[in-house]
Amino acid sequence: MEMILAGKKAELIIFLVTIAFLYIYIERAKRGKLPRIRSFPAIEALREACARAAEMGRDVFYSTGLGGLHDQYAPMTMASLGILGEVARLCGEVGARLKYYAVRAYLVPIVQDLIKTGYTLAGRPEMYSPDQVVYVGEQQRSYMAAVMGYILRERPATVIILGATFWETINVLGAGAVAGALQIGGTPRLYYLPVVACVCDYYLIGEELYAASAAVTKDPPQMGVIAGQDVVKFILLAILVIGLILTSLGFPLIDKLMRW
Amino acid sequence: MSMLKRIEIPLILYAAVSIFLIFEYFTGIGKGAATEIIGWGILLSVFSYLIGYIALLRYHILKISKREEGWPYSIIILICFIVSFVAGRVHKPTFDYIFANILTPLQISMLSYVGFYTYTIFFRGARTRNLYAALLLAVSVVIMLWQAPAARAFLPALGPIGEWIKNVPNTGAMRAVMIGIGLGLITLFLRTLLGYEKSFLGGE
Repeated sequence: MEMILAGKKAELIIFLVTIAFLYIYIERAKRGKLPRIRSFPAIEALREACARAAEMGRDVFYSTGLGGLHDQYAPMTMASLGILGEVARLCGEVGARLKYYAVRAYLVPIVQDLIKTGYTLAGRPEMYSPDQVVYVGEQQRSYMAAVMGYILRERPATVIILGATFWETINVLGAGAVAGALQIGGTPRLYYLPVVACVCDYYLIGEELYAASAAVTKDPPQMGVIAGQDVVKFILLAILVIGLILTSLGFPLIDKLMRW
Repeated sequence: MSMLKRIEIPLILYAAVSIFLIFEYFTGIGKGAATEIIGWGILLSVFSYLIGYIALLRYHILKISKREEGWPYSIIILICFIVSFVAGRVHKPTFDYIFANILTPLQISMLSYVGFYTYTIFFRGARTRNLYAALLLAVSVVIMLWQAPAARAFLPALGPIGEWIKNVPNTGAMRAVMIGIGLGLITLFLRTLLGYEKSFLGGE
């Protein structure tokens, strides 16, 4: 334990315990012990959202936010890309056109590939066009101008914003509201959660984005991950309650653990 | 490139780099190498601009050639792109002039315009479909008024209410969400490490 930096020992133990529980639940799910997974209304609404766009003959607009794969927002972008693959497949199934505006250049080929695969899996490869992914530069303002202009001109039936969102989200969702789009949002970025919750028809709060990206696949190991995550939450909650009681009794357990 | 190389090599690279960075975080060993790796990531992303340029040119050239709606704007975009790209590499004063006298005023205009959206979003788009959304909206209005000096001058009671909302329910909820986010990050890390999460590599 001497190798570990001071103040990080408890953190490492929690990290390893979390990994262990997640792995155990993945293995259980692989052996057929499937957990009962809470449903995510936002994910269940994806089909309805795509079907609505197909019926109206309008686009489904998808955004992964301003985050990229090279920065600290990479996990949020990765989770959003996982859901994008499913949205592309649903769009292919119902015959809706999916549109994506890229603010990171390297996301262009990745998203093009995801959309192409989605349409192909749904049996409609001819619906795919590389123009469904538009690169608008690396700036928040150029992205905001391009997306708001697109939404107000083309009036997509559905606006989906999942990922690392910033200030542009407020305005893009505002434009979506003006266009009368069905809006689905979700972000682990705390500052933008209230806006997403107030303006969107369906939303994912905090870590639900990560869980939802596993839930869309319906793959047993992925579902095991969600169950494992919930178990760790209960353990952490128990530690917090015990810590609260002990701290009130004059023994600052949590504080000592954090300094260990 | 074969599917094996396309999926396996990036996943091996991801696993090696992330495990090393976690090791460095907990032990402090290899700090220099970790900083270097993070720098490489940023540098590599800069190289990817080329992909973006190609996508941008392709999109607008096609739009012009097909005479799609709004195609004259695509000509303006292409001219702006080519002029600023060449000026940035050939004549720095021209690039600085473009930046200070065209780009900056345009960006300020854009901010002024969307500022209106930002402040009117709740009136335009709030979907108060259930009690929780209505509650959130009501609290948002109280907090907005609490932040405005004029409102606090007329309604002094807003002071303690705003402080309490910020320090008690807001902080509690933020901490709970933070714990969830941390767990979500570990989950995503493990899923990627075990090869269940491959979407960031494109379609399968």
